[in-house]
Amino acid sequence: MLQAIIRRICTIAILGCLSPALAQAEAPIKIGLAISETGPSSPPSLFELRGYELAIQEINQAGGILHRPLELVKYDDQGNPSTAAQLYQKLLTSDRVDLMLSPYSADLTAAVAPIVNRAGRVMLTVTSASDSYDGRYSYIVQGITPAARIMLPLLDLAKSKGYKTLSILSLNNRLGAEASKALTAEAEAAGMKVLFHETYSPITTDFSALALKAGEPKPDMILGTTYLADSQGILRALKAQNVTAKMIGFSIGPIEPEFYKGLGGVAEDIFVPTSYFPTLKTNGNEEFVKNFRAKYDLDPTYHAAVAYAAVKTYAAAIERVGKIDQDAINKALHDIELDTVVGHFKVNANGAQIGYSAYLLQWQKGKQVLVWPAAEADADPILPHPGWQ
Amino acid sequence: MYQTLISLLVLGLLWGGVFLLLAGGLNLIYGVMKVVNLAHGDFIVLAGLMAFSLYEIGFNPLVSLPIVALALFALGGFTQFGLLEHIKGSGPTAELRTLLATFGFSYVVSNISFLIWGSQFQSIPFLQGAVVIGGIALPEALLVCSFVAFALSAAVHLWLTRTKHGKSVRAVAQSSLGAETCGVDVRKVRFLAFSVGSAMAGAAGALLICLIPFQATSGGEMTVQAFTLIALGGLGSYVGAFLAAELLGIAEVMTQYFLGANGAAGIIYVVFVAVLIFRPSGLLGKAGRV
Amino acid sequence: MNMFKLAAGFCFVGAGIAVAAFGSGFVAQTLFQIVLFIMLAIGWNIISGFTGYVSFGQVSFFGLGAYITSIVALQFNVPWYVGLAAAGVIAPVMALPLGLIMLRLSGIYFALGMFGLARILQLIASELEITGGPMGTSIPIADSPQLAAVVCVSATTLVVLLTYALYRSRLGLSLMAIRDDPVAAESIGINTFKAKIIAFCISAAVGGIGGALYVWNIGFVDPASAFSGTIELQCVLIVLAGGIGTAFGPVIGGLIISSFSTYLWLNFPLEQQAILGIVTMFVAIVTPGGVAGLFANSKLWKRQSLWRPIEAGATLSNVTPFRASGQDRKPILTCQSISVHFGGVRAVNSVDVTAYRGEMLAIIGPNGAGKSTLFNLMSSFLKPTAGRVELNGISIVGKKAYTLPHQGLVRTFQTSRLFSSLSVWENILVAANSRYGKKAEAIAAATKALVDVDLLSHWQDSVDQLTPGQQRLLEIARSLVFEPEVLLLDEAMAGMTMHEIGRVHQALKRLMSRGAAVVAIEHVLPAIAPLAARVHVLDFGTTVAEGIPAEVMRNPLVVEAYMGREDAESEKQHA
Repeated sequence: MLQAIIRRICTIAILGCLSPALAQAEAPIKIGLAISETGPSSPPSLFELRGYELAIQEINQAGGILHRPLELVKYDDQGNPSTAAQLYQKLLTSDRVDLMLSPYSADLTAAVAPIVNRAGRVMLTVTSASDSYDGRYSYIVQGITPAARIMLPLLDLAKSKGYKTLSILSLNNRLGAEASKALTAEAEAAGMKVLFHETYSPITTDFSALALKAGEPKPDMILGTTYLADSQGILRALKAQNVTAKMIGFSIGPIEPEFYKGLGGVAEDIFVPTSYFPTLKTNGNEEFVKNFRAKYDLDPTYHAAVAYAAVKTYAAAIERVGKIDQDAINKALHDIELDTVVGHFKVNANGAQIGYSAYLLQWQKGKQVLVWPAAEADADPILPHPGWQ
Repeated sequence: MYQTLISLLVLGLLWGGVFLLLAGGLNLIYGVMKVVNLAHGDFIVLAGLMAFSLYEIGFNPLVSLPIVALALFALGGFTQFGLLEHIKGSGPTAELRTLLATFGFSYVVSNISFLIWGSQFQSIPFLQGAVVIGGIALPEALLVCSFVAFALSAAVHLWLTRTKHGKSVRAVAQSSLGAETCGVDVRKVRFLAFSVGSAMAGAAGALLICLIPFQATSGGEMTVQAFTLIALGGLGSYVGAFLAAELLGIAEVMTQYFLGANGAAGIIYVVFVAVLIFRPSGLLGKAGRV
Repeated sequence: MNMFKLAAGFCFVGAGIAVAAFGSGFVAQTLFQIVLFIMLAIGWNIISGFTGYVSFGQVSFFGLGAYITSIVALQFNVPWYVGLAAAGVIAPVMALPLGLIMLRLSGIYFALGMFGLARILQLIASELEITGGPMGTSIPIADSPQLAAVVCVSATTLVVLLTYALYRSRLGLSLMAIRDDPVAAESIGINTFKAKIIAFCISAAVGGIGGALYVWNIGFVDPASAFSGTIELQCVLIVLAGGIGTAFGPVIGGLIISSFSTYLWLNFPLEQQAILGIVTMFVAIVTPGGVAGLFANSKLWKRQSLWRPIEAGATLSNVTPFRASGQDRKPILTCQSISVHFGGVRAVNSVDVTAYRGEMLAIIGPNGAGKSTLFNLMSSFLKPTAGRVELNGISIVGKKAYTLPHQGLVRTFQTSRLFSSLSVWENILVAANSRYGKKAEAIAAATKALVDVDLLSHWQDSVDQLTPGQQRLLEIARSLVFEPEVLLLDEAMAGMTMHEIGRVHQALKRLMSRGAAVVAIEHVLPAIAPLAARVHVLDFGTTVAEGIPAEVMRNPLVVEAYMGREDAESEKQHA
């Protein structure tokens, strides 16, 4: 008995010192994914990749999972759905990876989900649109705040200020459609009035007429479910046409530093919801931010954080199962509740995320500041919007 | 309502100017050489990103505009001399090969842009205000884009009609063989046309990035839009291109306002196909004869 | 040789199916991808390569096929092959009305119009409920990647065989003629519009099946990928690299481009596009005909003529002459005060011309007199602004040009308009096919026409191997295949040797002896003077003189038209 304990302690000590060397002796656990290293969506993809790599590095330094190191098998899908489908087939059959992660973007995830699911392989995703988690795929599990919930902190803040009316502009894609639908439903449930709601195509570059129209009913809020280029385009048009509201908030686009770089002062006081922020007091966040900055000399974005959390979640699920068994890991992912850097991981029976929530940032004096929920906030929100200078 | 209508009309006209800016260089090159430069959009993006980098080190886009245009002039010259001049022959096969060569070059240009600037969207915070006249806001960026577009078109028109160089360019446009027999250095003229067309793309890029965020891969869509526009006007026709630009600008803004923004971005293709059904060679294109 | 090719083909396809069926999922998937693009490239090649209508929007039919399959699969819950078949049937049916609109365009306008069409369809797909909107919808996926690959390889093999059959068919020959010269194709009675529509629909069927396979394999469809411009570009690149308008170019191009881009993508992920771009430019500049073009003249690869002439000595008696009959001098083609104006230019102004059976009418006049325009009016290539044109007493104004050869009126052109990618034999055969329904008749007529102009020994040559005189002879032979009642010759004998002119005269005499009328434009009267019964002189679009040659040549107005007023004056004084 005592011998066994001593041996165990020795093993741990040695592992602690020589972990990389020893762990490599074991066959690695392969984690596979395709991601847009090149192509139009490479900037967020690269952040996801950094998150994955950091988590894997940390886990390997700590001795791996089940004493086996993790190995990332990655390919560049260039943002092309059919390339992604081909690559996932490759990951499944010729690379024989043990665990799957999702490609960047809901569109590509939707394209590969049927293939991965057909192979009976678990895939933990970091894409927010709901259609892959509506029950049709039993092996796909969501590791990010769902699209339907990302806009809600804006409404919470608005409620506290007594704002009543809003105009919604939404990009015509998965995320835009779902987020704006949920936003409308929640706003109406809270007794607010949606005065204007319109979708625009992803190739839109001129937003002038849309901006005019959104401002005509004089809403309290102008909210947009957007990405980067379109959020900038809409703001430029709002500014040029002098359309204002008490609160102006957009999804995703304003999270990128390029948002402020491209707009300058126009970006001031704009709100953006996010599922993660470096100043959050979530489990392990301080260390994550420190390590991330050390490794990449960058602040982690929410893409990096959800990716990092996904690998950590896999690790926890596998530790719980004790072996690489797809069905068991799948069950564990469905059952597990875990506090990650992003928040509380918990999914429903369909694999849709119900634990992670959303936060609100505001651009204040050229910096993003966490302003909501009040309990976590670093500063007070500046409201109402002071108008265009 | 009146006010809104006038606002929309003005915005449409101004966006027409932006469209014209996008397509002007392509129209010149097509007009003279019957060459569709499929790298046109990538030239614009490259120029825009260059202007962006110049802005980062403190150059105002209006200052960097001539610098960028000059750089693109050189790039255009290189494309013509290093690439297109080597494609011999005439007729459909040669046209297709030229198309293929410029298509390949568009890949090279956009890949280089990607390697230098990555693929994040970039834009320049410049000219974001508006001039208000009688309660109607005229966005500065649109005003400047339109002004430059019209000025460039007018300058090119004057160049083509009033100068000796310009006249030889027009001679080549009408008949390259005829011009050659009259002692025009056809190679030089083609070089000149391609370079000037590319410089116009450069000027467009430096301005458009203040209005529309670019990424390295944005070029393809721009080429298509620019090309649709000049085809709608009647390939190589300057007045046609102007009419087409204004038609598309107004159609786009009006559709966005009255029918919904979702269809507005695609409206240019609907207008295009609809016009082609009734005028198979564009608004002012010449109909083919036996 | 043919057996060898057949065997090689069988081995190739067999190997493909074996790899698809027994390879790993990845191998199967990769094969699927390569072969799918070959199929799509073939579809593109049919409309753009064979017919010459370069399209930037054939992906429209890929998308339609994808959506047809998914809608059929989801709404009616049918097995995959039903969905596949539905796409193969419905896509071309939908292509028919689209083709009726789009094929009115030509050249770059068609290419761009098709691009616009793809965009419009994408817009529609993202607006409709049944398509799943902008987010698309998932549909039942293939049971395994191997199954998808086997089906894809088999389907593509079928498509390759069909394309080859098309390539070696009457329709294929007509399509290639249209590509080389649509106007000349009309002039030999080919309904170019109909042929193009058929090609368009075949191309749509191939694209539709491709789209159906794609969504079945991936289990998902959305507007952006279904109508993706990238797919279109890939097809264009494959066809151009392999050799446009060839039967197997897309297959070679598909294999090369796919393996090359896979190689790049594995080894140079960041620079792959630039490298691909450089290679594309290289292909464009150095190898005009694509890879197939490199071997175009090798024996294995050279395009073999469709069918062959009857061996020398065989009987040609089963060729039926055209309706031409009766020797009496009756008017057959009459133009009554016809005019045509281009803007303010009166190219032809109130001209009366009549051609009589069994006679040659020569139309002469200086450059720009309106002679060729008059021909365009007579052959319905142009519609007169005013006046009547009657053939055998029936008005032909407003009739489609391609219908006239079938009514007995055939024309040639001022400049040589042969079909440059067809052999000498095929240049004749394509006309004979248009005239005669039966293969044997067509072959006999074509052989006879070749014999008439002494070109039988050249039958396998390409047209640019002929002398200019022989080329003109070939054009005349092409019209003689029709055994026309009215033959319009536009400076047909320019550039011929005396011997060749003799040949033509002989053939024309034979034609006229059967009661046909010949209308000939010539600059140089002597070339036809011996044959011409009457001469009609045009200048500035109006009739200057008409009558028998000897009279007309003495007419001072004619001399003036040819020599200018002053010269004519001085000549008169001189006299």
